[in-house]
Amino acid sequence: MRLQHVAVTNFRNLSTLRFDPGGQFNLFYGPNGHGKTNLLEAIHLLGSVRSFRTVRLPELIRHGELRAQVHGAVESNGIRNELRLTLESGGRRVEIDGKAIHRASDLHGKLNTVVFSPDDSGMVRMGPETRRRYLDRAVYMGDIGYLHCWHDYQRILKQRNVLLKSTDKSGLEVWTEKLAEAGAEVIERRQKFVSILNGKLLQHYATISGHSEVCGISYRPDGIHSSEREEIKNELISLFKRHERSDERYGTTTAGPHRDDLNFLLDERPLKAFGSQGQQKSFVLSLKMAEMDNLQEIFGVSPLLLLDDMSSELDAGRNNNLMEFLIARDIQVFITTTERSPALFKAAPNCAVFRVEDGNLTFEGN
Amino acid sequence: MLTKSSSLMRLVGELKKLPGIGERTALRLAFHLLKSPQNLTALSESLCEVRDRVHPCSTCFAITETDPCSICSGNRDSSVICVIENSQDLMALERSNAYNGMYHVLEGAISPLSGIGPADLRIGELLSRVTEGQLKEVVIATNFTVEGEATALYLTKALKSTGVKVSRLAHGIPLGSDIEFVDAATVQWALQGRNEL
Ligand SMILES: [Zn+2]
Repeated sequence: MRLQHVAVTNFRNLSTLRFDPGGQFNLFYGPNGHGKTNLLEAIHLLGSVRSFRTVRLPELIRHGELRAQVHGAVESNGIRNELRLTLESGGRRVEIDGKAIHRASDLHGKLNTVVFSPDDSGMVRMGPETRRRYLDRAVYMGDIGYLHCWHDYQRILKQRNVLLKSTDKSGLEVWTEKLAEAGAEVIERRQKFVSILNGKLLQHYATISGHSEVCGISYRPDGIHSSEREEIKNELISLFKRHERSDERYGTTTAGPHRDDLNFLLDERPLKAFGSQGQQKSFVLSLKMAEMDNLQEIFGVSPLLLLDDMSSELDAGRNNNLMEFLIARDIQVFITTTERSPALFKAAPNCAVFRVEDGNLTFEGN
Repeated sequence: MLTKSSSLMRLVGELKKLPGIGERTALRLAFHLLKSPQNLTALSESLCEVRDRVHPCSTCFAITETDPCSICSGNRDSSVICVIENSQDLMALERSNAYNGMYHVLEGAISPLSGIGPADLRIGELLSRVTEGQLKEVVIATNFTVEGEATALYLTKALKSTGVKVSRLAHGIPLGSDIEFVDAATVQWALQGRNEL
């Protein structure tokens, strides 16, 4: 997959900016706060409609403007698509080749991006909701069916929580069963993703660290022992029934896949507590490589890598590992750093270099 | 000059209450109506007529001008009842020409977020019809939304003790869509492929 042309208008601090990215390595350097990360965010948003940062829609529109736009020409398996995302205070719109799409799923697979930012490294130390959000996003990237059951689950959860707060609770049994039905599909799809990713993760970690620790991500949904949807549904119903009294007391559903965590393990011990700084970095990098491999297998075409603030994430050794990986898989990369690092150019041949300052972009050559 | 209390502004205010009508469209419609006194008369008469004549059928709760409605009193298969959320769904199903049974309009779907519980729907009336009549089958055709599916499950549970066969519209209808917007051919297919629950 190649992004061949990008145009951004009134997105955060970027007023107008257009460029043709290089086929493989693209470096955006400049002082912090001048718009490098905003540019990566715009590219990510074009493919997924949702931001990798947590934001409210109006924050994405440049101050004083009515709408922001991101346009990109994507080549994938010999097919070129023009994607256009428009953000307005009233909502977001996506057009593919000039035609408006009506469902987020129509955009699925048109522009696949894997983001690797300082937030990903932070994920190891943060609370469960950060890792859960990561898991939901990562599962959806490769699994178009996930969005539907996830949305249903959220909607049913909302309905059930309103009912738990009201005095007349008639129909609660039905909402509990519907929640278990949607929840079982959410869990099953998460489990499938985790088991596929684990094999790839292990392999990359061994290469990067040169060590023999066994690393893995572990998803153990609360109250669930099965991996078969009908059985998960029954286990979820029991879980909800067990929590019914506390649910009614707190006026909210206190257990279920919306509370689950994703555990990062090294030799079966929590990475957060037992992993060194270096091991944590290798782990997260391996996780990102596994994600890229997974998308490559599903779509038959490699995704883009958006590598934010590279110097803070990677030392020379891991950097070289990553570059070899990217070259071997012919992955187009968008990198941001504060400095033009000479080490990078040795590892990344034919890198297109852009300077980003005050929301403006200057091409400085290959 | 027009004041806030003028009759024209009152008309604009009423038009604005309609779905999909904002201030500008309401003004445009009001001024358009003003151009022709005949149109105004026809519209006001038709509004009063609808108010006086149209009401829910006392048996199936579909909107009608006669009681019972033409379907309830017509020559149709009274051993099957198709349960729907509202009268617009009935029109969509009738256009398909695939169904010759009776209907029952729930007048909505269960939705705690909108303050609608089972008691707010015509579910008690449906159960009475099922237990009193010589019924063979109930076809549940609520929408394929989260709320429509929850209502279908509630009905299935409520009908279980009656022993009547319960089925649900099955294939062909896009997930998450309202039946109202599905074309007749798709509805026909869905009706033929209904599943027993
Ligand atoms: Zn009737």
